[in-house]
Amino acid sequence: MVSGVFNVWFSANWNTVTDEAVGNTFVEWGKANGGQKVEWQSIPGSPQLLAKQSASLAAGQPPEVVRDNLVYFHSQGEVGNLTDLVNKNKTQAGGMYEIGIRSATAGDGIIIGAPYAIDVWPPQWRIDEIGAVNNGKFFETWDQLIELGPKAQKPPRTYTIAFCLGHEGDHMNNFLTVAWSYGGRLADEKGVPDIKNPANKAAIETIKRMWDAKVIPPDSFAQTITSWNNETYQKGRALVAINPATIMGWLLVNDKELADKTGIAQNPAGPAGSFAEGGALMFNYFKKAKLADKAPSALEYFIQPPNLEKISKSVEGRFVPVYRDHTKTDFWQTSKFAEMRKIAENGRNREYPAAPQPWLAEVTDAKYTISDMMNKVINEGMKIEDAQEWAQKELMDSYTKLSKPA
Amino acid sequence: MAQQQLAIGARHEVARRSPLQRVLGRDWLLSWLMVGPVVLIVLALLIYPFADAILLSFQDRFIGKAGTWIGLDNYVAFFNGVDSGFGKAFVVTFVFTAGAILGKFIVGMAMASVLNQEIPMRNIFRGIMFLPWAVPAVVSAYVWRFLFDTTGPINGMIAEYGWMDDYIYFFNDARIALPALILVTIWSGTPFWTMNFLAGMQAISKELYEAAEIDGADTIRRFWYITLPGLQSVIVVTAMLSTIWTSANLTQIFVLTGGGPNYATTTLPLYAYLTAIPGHRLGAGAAISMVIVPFYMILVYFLTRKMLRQEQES
Amino acid sequence: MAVAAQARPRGSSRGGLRSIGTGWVIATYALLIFFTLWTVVPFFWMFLASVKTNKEIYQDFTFLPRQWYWGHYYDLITGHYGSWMRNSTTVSVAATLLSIILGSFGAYAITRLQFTGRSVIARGLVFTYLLPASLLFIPLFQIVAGVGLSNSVFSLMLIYPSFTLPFCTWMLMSYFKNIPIELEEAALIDGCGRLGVLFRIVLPLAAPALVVVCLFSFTNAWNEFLYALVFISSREQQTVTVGLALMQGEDVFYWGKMMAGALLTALPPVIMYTLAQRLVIQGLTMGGVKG
Repeated sequence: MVSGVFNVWFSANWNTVTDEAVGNTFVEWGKANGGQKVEWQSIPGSPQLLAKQSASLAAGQPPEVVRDNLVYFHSQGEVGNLTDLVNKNKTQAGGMYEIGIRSATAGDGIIIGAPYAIDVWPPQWRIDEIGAVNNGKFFETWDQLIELGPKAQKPPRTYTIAFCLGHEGDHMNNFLTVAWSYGGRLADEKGVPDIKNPANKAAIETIKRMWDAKVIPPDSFAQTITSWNNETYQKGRALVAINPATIMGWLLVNDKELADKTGIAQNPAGPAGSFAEGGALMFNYFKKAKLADKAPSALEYFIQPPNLEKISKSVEGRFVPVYRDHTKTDFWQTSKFAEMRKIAENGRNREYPAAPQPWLAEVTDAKYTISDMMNKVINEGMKIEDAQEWAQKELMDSYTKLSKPA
Repeated sequence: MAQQQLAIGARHEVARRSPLQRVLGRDWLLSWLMVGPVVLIVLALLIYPFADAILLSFQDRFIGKAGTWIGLDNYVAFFNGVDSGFGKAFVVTFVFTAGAILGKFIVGMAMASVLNQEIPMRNIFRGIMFLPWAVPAVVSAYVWRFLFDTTGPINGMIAEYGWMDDYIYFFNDARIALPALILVTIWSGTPFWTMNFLAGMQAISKELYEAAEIDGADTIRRFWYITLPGLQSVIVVTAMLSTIWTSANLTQIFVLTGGGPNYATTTLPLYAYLTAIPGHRLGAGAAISMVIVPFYMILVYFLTRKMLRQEQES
Repeated sequence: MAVAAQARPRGSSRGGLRSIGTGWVIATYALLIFFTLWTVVPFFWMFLASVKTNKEIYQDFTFLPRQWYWGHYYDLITGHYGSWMRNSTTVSVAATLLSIILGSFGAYAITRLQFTGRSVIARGLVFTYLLPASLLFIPLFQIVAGVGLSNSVFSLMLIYPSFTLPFCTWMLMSYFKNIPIELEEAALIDGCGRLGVLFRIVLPLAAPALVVVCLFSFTNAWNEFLYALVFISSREQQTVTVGLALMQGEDVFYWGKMMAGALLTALPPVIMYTLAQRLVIQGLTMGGVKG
């Protein structure tokens, strides 16, 4: 790293416009602060980014500001403590959404990221196809989806829902979206894995019922990239996909026809209600970076409401703005994107009811434990309780290896 | 005549050897001057990280943290307990590599033979045949993924022309996934073999073929008794390098199947990578990588014995 | 010895195809067609995808695009792609030159000279491939950062020989071994020194091989991904492979752009190969080397 250069790294956003909006805000901070030269880099792919971050740390030359793998690096003590910074700024512009702060707070109460946007996972659905069998409305419950889906779909050309079950990150969200609606969960309040919780059994059963009703494309288990459900929906092959608004965003730019036929809704409910995932996008800094002492100033500049408003508007609809005032516009109140705002108000992080955990990344992106558990039940005919036992063992293994004692 | 002069000269050589030469070899000075730079670069750039990785395999080390020494625990864990799947990964690695190498050899040899003939526009065809190698592995992986996809052209044609009732889910079924993967590897890797064989074939004198033809040998015999032996060292080295590279193939497996379905296509190197980087466990990943090394050392040793034997022993 | 006495210009065997019998001729052409299709079809699809709009790529199966869209190429060329190409070229050329030169010396020494440790070194070169880049990259980056070269193309020029050099050396060893040793011995007796033999006899005879090895070495360097990703941190210094990977942002895939980018990326190695073909033919029809 050239000394005197302030480095910002983040995983590639869903398009270059977003990359530029985020990166250039830091550049502006640099200009306004003694002409500090700032270089930003968007980096493709998740394991590669972790590889790059680790190598740079090991070589003693980490970048100053980063966005990814924060929970993990916090557990190694490598990133800054932003509790004061965030608390100072979170009351501006109507206050930050709770989920923004909660998903940025680690198990030990320390805030490990300056949130700048809320990422939510609503279902994106075909108003025309599904509306036709359900009075213009989206499915209200999972049972309804299983019952009415076969009427709306035309396999093998189209299936009801691109439900993610393969070795790719989205499977965790899709599974939990169902599990939560049955009162199930991944971890307990302390962050200890709890997949063997009996409430999860009903959820697993429901997913199996979905599979048996053939409302899920048969190649779901074989998928290995997170863009599968996006593309399946974009190709018109699935009528529903539960995913961040990257799908909607892509449609608005590339396929207005399909965008008009696409709605955003709340997730189907189970007996315990309807739930969706939400989480903050946030930045922090590496303590060992050369210009680490300047980082807090950069972060504080970044999360000032006017700057965030600019970013949010440039990629309208991709994230929910983190400040409540910014969602008082028509776009967020009356258009279909209002559904996303609602999720921001009561969304959950994956480890709910616990704070973000360092073992989650391994389980989701390296071991794919939940995907394998579903595979055992659906394709290997394993009894659900046995599969839960197996998954619990795997999760506990990651937990013990990666968590500091409570 | 020349032969006799040679022999005499050689005997003179032996008599005139200095004590240093007897220990270090006849041409030690010149040799080390010529081979020195290579050795230096390799030592600096590879041996040090290699040693680092060996040490790493005996540690419990997470990305970003310093490691703690745990001796053989990584290896033990890998062979039985929590990190099970060794046996499967081992078999997959073997099947994948063997299948790919065999395929590349056959296709490579066939292609080279064809391109060595007098055919019109031969150079254009040779250029075309090089294309798959010119594309980065990750890109060819994505292209084939696109081709094999449920909504890709192959299935598209199946649906359009009604050849079958349902799509072929190439990567859903373990029985199809591995062969499909091998096919892609063969597609992208064969040019290496083809071109090496071609270059090697150029060096075989046409006289040998003509003499054999006059003697009445048919095409097959000419191939078997002239071409193959003439390509021997090229075959050995190409096979050796290709075997190592093919089995170490990460990108294509990662992109096409991610090791699935259900670990049916997870090779040892992929398993090591998943453990080390997304799994955060550098130590365990290093240990898994080390496990394959002894096999290759043996393979390389025997493959290269003949090659390293020198023609002129003094 | 008849073998080395006269080197005919390559590729002009007497009788050509006639000498292999009609059955084999048919087989030859059949195979040729088959191999060409097998090679070209994926590229055909790549090209088609690169000229379709994002929307059309996802639609039902079509051969030709409903409308030809050149925007992907336009975006690439007006973007950073040019500087990425430049970086990749610089790095690959440097690594290849270094490797082919040092590799020739090393290969000659190992195959023709006698010295202690010869086979250990030779085998040692191959053993270096047994560890994957996915393990080596961290210590290698520490080296690079240690000499202050991180985030520059020089870091790659320094590190790429770690895989191009052993490769070049071994490939050249296999070709050198095929050259009849009698030629060299004759020259040695005539008073030509070892280096002279290398430059005047071995290298010219191995010319086609040198070209092939250069080409593969260049392409290996050109297509390398992991080190390029880790060692370089500024957008202008990136190489083409990392840039291509950026065509996937989050969970969105820009197929059209990636296919266009892939075709552009494949061009330099292919152009090099085509040019090299001509050089080889020229060199050889000039009569080759007389024994």
